[in-house]
Amino acid sequence: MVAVAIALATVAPPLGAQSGPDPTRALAIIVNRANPVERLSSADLRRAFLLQRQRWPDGRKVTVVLREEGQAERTEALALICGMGEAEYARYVRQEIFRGNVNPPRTVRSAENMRLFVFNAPGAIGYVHADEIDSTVRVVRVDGRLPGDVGYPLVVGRPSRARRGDWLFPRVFGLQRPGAERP
Amino acid sequence: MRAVLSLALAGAAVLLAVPPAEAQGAPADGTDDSPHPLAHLDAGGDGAPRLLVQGFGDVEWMSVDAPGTPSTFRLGQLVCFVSSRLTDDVSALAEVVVELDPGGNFMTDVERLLLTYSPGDYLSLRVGRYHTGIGYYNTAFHHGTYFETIAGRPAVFAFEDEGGPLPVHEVGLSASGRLQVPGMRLEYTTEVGNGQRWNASAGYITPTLVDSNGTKAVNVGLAIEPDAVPGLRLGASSYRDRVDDAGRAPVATRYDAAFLAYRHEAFEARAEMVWLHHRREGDRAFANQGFYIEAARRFGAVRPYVRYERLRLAPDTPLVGRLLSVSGPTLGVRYDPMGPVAVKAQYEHLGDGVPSAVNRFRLQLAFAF
Repeated sequence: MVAVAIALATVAPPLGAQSGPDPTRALAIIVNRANPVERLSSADLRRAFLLQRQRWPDGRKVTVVLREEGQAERTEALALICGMGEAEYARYVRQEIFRGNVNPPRTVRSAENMRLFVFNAPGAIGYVHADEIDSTVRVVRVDGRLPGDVGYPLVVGRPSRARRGDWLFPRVFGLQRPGAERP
Repeated sequence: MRAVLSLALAGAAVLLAVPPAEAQGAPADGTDDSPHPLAHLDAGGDGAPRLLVQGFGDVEWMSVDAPGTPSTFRLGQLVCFVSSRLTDDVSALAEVVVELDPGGNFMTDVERLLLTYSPGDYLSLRVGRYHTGIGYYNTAFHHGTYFETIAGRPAVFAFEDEGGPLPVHEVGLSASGRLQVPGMRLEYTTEVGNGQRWNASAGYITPTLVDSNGTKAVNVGLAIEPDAVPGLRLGASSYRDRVDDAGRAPVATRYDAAFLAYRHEAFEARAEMVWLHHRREGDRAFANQGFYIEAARRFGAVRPYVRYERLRLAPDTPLVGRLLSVSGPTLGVRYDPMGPVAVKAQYEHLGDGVPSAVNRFRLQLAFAF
């Protein structure tokens, strides 16, 4: 019995680790502490980062903050939130500006600058890795979950919800793709 | 033309003369959304003042297998675009296009000039010259060909001076907004404008800068974006006007459109149908249709695409019966080698409106700067 327990402990990770994502690899969505928004759906989050949502419920302008072009954190966020690569997102933002949108995303160089920007701008929304959160900003629940919760949708290295098929199949057709993770 | 050019220059001067909010020293103390003091150090440049200037251009090479039609290079449109956020709620934009007419002379047009007041997502009021909200294509794509996946607009949405049957531009007032309802987002559009008139000398309809008949053109549109399918947009619109026709009885027009557009990750697709109704006073009604369906799939920097379109206009239809009907497929590939530069190579098979079906090859270089 002892030998089996030792073997299981050695081979298999703890059950908790199996059921929840590594919180340090999750992207936390952060807003200013004065922002009344506490939760967003994945669809709302996507619309905000695609500049389709211009205002928060309190009337403040939504200001999207991204890491600099070429940084891994930016690539991760664009893929997880928008389902886009860098070139496609750049083209999309140009097109939005051309359509009359006058509030393009801002860029910052580091997680520290991201937190500082969000701290100073009440309408800002950005992201950091879960282990980079501090008390100067507030973390928003995405689809009702926080980083570290089971089913949190923004985990680095995991395909976006749309790519996994969680959107189209269960919600529209009541089906689940083989191998797709149920949220 | 001189008046249009003057208007363009005046508009640009006004826009350039108004310093952006940040340049006026907006506080960075957390009371507004001004960029963080460190933002100006960022190489990305997004923290720069919000006077946004963009340019677009395109050059084509075209070969047609019709007898007597040589292959040719063609200079496309030079688009100068300026927009500025004047206050939190007010913004302005101007789009000025310079292009060659068939006679080789440069023409300058103010394609859009808009002042927008937007107190929230639920309302954007615009006044000036805008692209009408008929269907999807005309609101999604303006004059920068770089943004269009395929070289050339669908025939039914061609610009007025390129033989298009629809009022693509309008001078007037527009109200639109987005509302979140359970399970989806709803977007509405209402527009009231001067409408169109038939330009007999040029042979196409043209937006009236000053209303000629007192009847205002009205357009209403509704679109939904279901939360369950990101990137999907469905909608419909209806446009009505009464168009003067150079000494003949005026023509009542109605353009109804329905569309489906999907753009997500590497895949994009659009399908749109437009019903064109014309009735000259005291005469019978005519109903024509135009549609297109197109799709593209990205593989890295390469994006193969396909379009099929059809625009059938009965020759005795008032106004637009004089325009060409078009139908046929387009097959091509778009390559984005670097930054905002795109190369599109495509084959088109054109039937219907020409004496016999022709095949055309187009190579387009489109870029933004």
